[in-house]
Amino acid sequence: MTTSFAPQARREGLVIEEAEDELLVYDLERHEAHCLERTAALIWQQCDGQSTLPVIIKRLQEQHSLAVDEDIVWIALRRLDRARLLEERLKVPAGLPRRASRRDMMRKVAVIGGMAVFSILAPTAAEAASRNVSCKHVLKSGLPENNQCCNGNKGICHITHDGDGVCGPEPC
Amino acid sequence: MSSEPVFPRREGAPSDTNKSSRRKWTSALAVQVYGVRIGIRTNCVATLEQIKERLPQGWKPLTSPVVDGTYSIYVADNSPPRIRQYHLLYNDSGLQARALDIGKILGILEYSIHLHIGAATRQRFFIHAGVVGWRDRAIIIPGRSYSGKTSLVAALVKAGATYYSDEFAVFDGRGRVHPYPLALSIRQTGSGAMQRWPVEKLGGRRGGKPLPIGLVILSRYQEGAEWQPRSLSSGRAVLALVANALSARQQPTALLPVLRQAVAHSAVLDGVRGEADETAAAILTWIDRDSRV
Repeated sequence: MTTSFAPQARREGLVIEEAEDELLVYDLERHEAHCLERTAALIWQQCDGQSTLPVIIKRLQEQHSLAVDEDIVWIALRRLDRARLLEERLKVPAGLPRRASRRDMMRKVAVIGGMAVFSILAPTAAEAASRNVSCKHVLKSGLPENNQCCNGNKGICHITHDGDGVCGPEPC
Repeated sequence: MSSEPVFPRREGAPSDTNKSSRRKWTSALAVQVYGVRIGIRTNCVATLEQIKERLPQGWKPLTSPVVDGTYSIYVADNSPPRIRQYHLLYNDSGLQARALDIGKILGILEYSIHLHIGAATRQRFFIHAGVVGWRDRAIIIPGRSYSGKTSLVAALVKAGATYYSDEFAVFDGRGRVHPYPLALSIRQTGSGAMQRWPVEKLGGRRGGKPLPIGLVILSRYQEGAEWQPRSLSSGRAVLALVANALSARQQPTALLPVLRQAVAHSAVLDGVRGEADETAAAILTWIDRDSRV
């Protein structure tokens, strides 16, 4: 059932940097940054839209000495799909991954290693500089004053140059 | 010849469209920092001198009044004396803040200028982080306001590290960190009031030259915690820096390779920490034992 499926990695709208044996990816459309550990990165790089899963598995085993199987590749594809790094949303065929216990699957992942895909949302300038995402709700009742506090009494809310509201370091 | 000051104006913008245009301005200044042009005007020449003291290190006066952004501070004269009037701060979006204490207005202006420069400059990459120098390498502590960076930076400086900044790590295109030494905002025990402390008052020294990164500390304060960090990969450090970058969305194509290069040869430690003084000592001890830093 999976012999004809050939996953395709996204390439458009991404900034990609190699870092030792990891891959850094910035999604220009979603403003998300991802760090793919080694195995996840290698699997992603094999997704050329033409290589089926058996081909990908064989290539990883022979060229990179990775003892991956179809379950591992599906786990990686799910993680890449969650990070929106595949060209199309993943449709996992019925019956896959095989009915292994969660513990067995996690054990397999741990043995292989390097399967994580870490992701963050890139902040706006105002978000990067404040503890609270925005304090604009504080401003609706009037102008920020020295007794107008951000959430948790941390800092004064004030309007930044781009019109957003941000909690500064000034004491509340 | 007219002695009227030439007031800064935003490039391409029509004349004042917000209420600040109603005020009578008497003093003005146009400056450039890292390629970003900022105009400041006020109705009080003494205030302008105070503002100059709070401008980022390395600012240069501009001869042209054309700028990228403007700020206006109206200083209330508080007459008649029984009626207290607010001091006002305007930016290009309109009224930004008002306060009865001019110090608070100046603090907000200063912070806004840093944010503005950090987001707009194309010469440097600003990351919200504390930075100190140790053995010709930078220790960088990414984190937003109130994450405990200043406490840890102050403790490291007291332990002998060189002060670079407690708010912004400023990267050049080669991944080196430049000094951006602001007065440390330290919360006083007991009163909880914040005071600005030049690093010299803590017995510290300012760094002068750009440094490569030796260590990235990802930490969160937890009362009573002992710092027992785990090592992370450089890729994880890049994510942490992107998460605190002021211009991540504006220039990701340029930012990512610079940060990757910046942390390529550094150690990365992640873990909760307790009191700053103990943590600082533990950090410097760890560095002394690790040959990578």
